[in-house]
Amino acid sequence: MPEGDVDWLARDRDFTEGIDHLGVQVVSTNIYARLLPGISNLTDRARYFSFYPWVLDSFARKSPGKSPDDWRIWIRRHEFTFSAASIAAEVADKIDEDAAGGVIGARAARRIVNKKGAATVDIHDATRIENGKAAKGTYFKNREGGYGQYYKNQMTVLGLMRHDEDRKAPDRQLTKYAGEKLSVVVEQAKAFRDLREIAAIGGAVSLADLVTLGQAVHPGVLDPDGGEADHLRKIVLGTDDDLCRGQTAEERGRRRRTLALALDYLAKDDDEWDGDAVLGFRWGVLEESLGDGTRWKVPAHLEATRLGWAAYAQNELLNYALECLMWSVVQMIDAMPMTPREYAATLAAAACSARHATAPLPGRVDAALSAFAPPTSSSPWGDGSTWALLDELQDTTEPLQCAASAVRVLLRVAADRSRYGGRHPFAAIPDGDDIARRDIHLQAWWDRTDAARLESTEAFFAQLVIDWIIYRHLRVATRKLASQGDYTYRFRPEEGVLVSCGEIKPTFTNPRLRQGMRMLADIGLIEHGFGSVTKHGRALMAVTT
Amino acid sequence: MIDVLDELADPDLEAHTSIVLAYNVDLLFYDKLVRRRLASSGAMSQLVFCDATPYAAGLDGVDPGSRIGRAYSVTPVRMSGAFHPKAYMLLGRRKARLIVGSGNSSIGGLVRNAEAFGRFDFDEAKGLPAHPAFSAILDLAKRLATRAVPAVTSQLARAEAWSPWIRTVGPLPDARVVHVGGEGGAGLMSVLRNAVSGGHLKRVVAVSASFDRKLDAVRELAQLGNGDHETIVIV
Repeated sequence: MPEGDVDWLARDRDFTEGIDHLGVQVVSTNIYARLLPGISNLTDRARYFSFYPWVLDSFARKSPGKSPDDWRIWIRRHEFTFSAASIAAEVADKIDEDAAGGVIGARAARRIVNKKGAATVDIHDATRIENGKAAKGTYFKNREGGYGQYYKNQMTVLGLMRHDEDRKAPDRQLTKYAGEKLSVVVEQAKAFRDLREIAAIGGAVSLADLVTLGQAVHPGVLDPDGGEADHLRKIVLGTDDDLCRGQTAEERGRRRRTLALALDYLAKDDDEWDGDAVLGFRWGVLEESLGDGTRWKVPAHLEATRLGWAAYAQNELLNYALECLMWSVVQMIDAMPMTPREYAATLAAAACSARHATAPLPGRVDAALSAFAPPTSSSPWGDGSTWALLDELQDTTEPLQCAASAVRVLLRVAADRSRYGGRHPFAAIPDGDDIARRDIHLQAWWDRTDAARLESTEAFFAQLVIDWIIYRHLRVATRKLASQGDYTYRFRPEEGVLVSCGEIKPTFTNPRLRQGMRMLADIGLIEHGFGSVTKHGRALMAVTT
Repeated sequence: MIDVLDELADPDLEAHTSIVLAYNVDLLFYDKLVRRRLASSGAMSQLVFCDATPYAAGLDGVDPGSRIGRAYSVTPVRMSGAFHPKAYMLLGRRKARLIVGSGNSSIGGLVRNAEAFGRFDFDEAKGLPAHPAFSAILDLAKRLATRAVPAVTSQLARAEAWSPWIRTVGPLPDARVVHVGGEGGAGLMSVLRNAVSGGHLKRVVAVSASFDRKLDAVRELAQLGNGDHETIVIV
């Protein structure tokens, strides 16, 4: 920028979208990280856990050059050849739709494969490195591709590789007890040896050859009875002490119990969730119920894990309802500038009246809590159920109506405690007491409502909007500005009133379950598309105690 | 271009005291961000003076974790009009910085809005006396402190004792003037009129975040001196 230009204009454009504007989702992410360790939101195909060790091993054995750039070229060409082949097979309809997806660099590979009239794919052109950096227009910006971006650290956590103190690129070496064994299994497959031949040359490869290759190497076509799937099963499920030497017994057990719980749900549930088994599982753990409303009889040894996930699901409802209240505030600010207290009072008054709901809220907090105790009817999805209250909230389009629905969900969350038997809701979560040190979470919400039992409902919710929405957001956004320089304010005070700075979209966190379940399918425990449990899945359920 | 927040976080100043004067001090923003920037310049003693009306409305933003009253004092100022200065001063034993302008101590004033600021620096090593703006702001703070709790007066007395250079008299380092107006003081326009008297001006440049609706002030600026200068207004 030339000297003298007003760069505050550039700064005005420097607006970070940001997430978690109330700083509440961190509790949920901490819970699921403890209940499902070793699986991240970005490592959702099991085959990469065997593919990358093989690429690393191949580099050591077959690459003529060993410099950092030689490594980067090696990993990028292998990874992209894998991607191009997998996508070419998908595009040619050679991969079952349910088994597709999750391929690294898929967008770039699809663009290249779908290029009009293209009969070949140039591996070198799509992966080249210039001046030590990924060249513009190549398939992945990270010099080490998706391996470096997503998988490297996770594979280190799983004990497949460890830091190599002597080298910068590659900066990992395989573990003898796990990584090398996986590499040996992959090397036995001719298709991978063919892939190496293509990648090592790095030239043009015909689409027809890629389609053939993709049918054998695609992450969704692992033979569940083969050696590769068997090794991956043992590593992901933590059932083999030797292969899992790099993982703690505690973490292996936690991951296995969550996956076994998911398998138990899938084995018993029907198709009530329109194929969205993850959504079904989230509600199932909370209501101890299957999609058709019948009771989910959870095996006794998995009950503590279910309770941990129930606390997660209920904490998510709390977060979501709070974010909906914030959404209401943001919409109102857009419409009319007022002071924080005026917004809080307006929202609370509307929420407590009958104008935006079927009935007004009782005047005192204790009575409101009684009115929102969980219904005793047998269906967990019927009128007055938590499901129905959330459904109503998600259907709202207008701020006051949204606030009214949100406080009703909050009241249900506050009144629905019996499943924990009087214990802390995070008691079944490892290090749950640590997580509960945060300001806003399920138990904190219960404590807040308990302390206000004799207060006016309207005043209580007005103060909630002040404390947990308006000033909470300002605190969180200021902290982000102070620590990271990110401007994430959705509103800010200006001359006493709040002014709007952006939008908010209430969201739930992603508890890695979708990734976990996809991995279960990859290693042959369930059918792809969250389908039925296989013989390997049933075998796991039998041994998980 | 001055990024006030960056200017306030300068460890080279080795400051001991900061004084912030503003109409609106967003207490949450000050506590979580401005205070820390000032502290990174070394200012362990911090004083804030702000208008009493926005202060009262902003108290909801004070949470139990706030350091108000412990890490810094806040003195709400009541006066017939609004208490409307915006000055940020860091005092050290040998160095100091003063930033005077239009931005409140708020997200808008220090981060988002386009505001006008001027900066004064003092460095004893350069052998020049401090700009009188430093003592003007300190004296204003001392006057305001007469209606504050005794601790505020002590903070200011200590600051003055640790920065004796602030009273050194000598040739002005530059021609800029910081005028403190308000109750009992001369208005800014009459100060300008006296400074110019009937002299010839080439150009008057006014930079402000806001002007009166009838533009009376702009008209007066255009009539300063013998009124044949060009007047540039930047809003």
